[in-house]
Amino acid sequence: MARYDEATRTIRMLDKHCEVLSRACIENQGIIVDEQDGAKAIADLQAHRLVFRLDERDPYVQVNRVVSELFHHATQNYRRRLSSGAVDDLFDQLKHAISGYLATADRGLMRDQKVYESEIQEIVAHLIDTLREITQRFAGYVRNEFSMVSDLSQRIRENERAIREASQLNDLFATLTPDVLSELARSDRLLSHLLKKVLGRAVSSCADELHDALHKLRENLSKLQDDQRYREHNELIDTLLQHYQRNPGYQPGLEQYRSIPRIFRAAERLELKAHPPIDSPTEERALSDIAQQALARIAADEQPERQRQEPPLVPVKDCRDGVFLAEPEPVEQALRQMFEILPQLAEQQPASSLACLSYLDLEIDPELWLVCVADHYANSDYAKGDRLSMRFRERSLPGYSGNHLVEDIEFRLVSTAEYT
Amino acid sequence: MSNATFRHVTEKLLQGELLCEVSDEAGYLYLQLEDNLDRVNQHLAVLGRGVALTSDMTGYYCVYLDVEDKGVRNRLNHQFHALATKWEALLMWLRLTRQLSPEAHPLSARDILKESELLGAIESSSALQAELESIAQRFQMRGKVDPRTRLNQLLRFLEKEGFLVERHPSVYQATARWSMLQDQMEFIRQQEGIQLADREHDQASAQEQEQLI
Repeated sequence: MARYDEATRTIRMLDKHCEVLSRACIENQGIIVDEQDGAKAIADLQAHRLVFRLDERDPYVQVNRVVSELFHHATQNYRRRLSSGAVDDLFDQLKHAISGYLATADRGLMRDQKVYESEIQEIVAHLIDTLREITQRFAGYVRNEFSMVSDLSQRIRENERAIREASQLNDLFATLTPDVLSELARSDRLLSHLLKKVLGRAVSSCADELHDALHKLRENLSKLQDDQRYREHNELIDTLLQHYQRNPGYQPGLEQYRSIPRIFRAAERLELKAHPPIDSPTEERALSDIAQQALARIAADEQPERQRQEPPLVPVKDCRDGVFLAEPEPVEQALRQMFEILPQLAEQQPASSLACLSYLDLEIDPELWLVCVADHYANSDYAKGDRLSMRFRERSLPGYSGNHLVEDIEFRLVSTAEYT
Repeated sequence: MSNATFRHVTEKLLQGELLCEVSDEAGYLYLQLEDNLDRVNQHLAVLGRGVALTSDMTGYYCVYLDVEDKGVRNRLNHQFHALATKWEALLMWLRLTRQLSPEAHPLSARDILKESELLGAIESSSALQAELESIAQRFQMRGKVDPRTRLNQLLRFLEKEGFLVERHPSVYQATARWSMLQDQMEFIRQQEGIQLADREHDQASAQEQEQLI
């Protein structure tokens, strides 16, 4: 008898604290926290070994596995009922009842029509309840973020499953359009009211709610996936650092792998080089042509060299507005030459001012040259919106916040389309 | 535009660069389109190369398709050894930056690192300063310098190695090279049977429990 009594008392205790246990098992991973309200329940449940405390210092108790499984079993039917399949079934039943209703109405069978009428009302009410319950279930998922599952991977899987189900349900809602419902209702007053107004409104509000839930579930999933990625990365860092500490001088190697994995196959920089076969007699003619062309180019290049030796005189105003001819300033001349050639130089890639300086016959400090270039550009037509844009190549000076050292000035040719 | 980007992307890949949203956004976005990726792959295949993607899909890089060639194998071994000597220091750097991250997240592609914030935290903790110095020594950085200079040296070094890009003065952004490093380390961990720290701990406590029972 004592055994029966014990069983009865335990079942009563479950019934007494059903609410606390339900909340713990369904929403809180089977944990009951020591709170004002929970203290009495914990004491009762502990007395019947329905909960246990692993460590006396823990501020919570864990529901016994057998009790958790009981709740899981009890909610199985609910979960099955709340699948989108259930909505499908109900909708099929509704269509069947509507066709029966319309057929009896056509034939004037009033009594049978009444039977179908009440069946349709019942199905519509049931359908609305089911839709609401399902959408609320998804809202619940969003609210508790599957906190009843402690394992992150499992939580991700649950979230993915919920998204799949919600997407299926969303597809179903997409089929319950006003047109479809209107077609089902035809011109019948009762059906129009039930399907277009009552069901239509419920479907629309549930679809909105589901849409929100789906969006939040996706956000949750992305957050959970990030968390998992970070956790795995952290684990990897700690593991390898521990490995290095335990095995000083550890060096991984690739030699032992028969096939090198793709991740270690990163190709080195490919050098594109070509060497002319200068000793080959078959290429003698071609080489001779190249050499002659090069000589001709040098001869052409010598022309401006001669001109440089005798620079043209330019008119210069003195302080009394008197004009006389003088040799141009070498810097000014160099700047003019550089800006003449810049549009061609900057056509393919940015042209560097310092690189230009190295080709000019000018002895000047690079810093001063850059100042002159910037000044010349600012006073030129290019700065007034022509097709040449200027950019400083600079780096910040460590220790002098906000100060930058200009290392070079680059010019780029702005394309006509870009310019327009 | 498409041809110019194709040329640009192919050249960059052949130069051994890793294309990600941080290092080359236009190139990365170009390769995200399957047709473009196929086109680049076809072109590189002629040169015995192909495009690979990091497991978190944040960066593209060029790989050898055929590694049977002895020269290629030697080059890869050499390249691997050069990188593996820096692993411990890189792991320590990841641990350091994780400690300074508000949510304890490890440094990943696209993350922003502000030199001033890092320096503020490091200067206020002697343990972090010691850690910073230890990392620098493993990267063969010699000489006694203050934490500010040391941190700057490290950031410059990581920038040179392609792990960071300086977005604004003293503001850096992590590239997908960290993802590539993670993939490489994960492969070696799995192959060498190094058990993950947490799982090892779980197993140890399970064994402990068993013994107690």
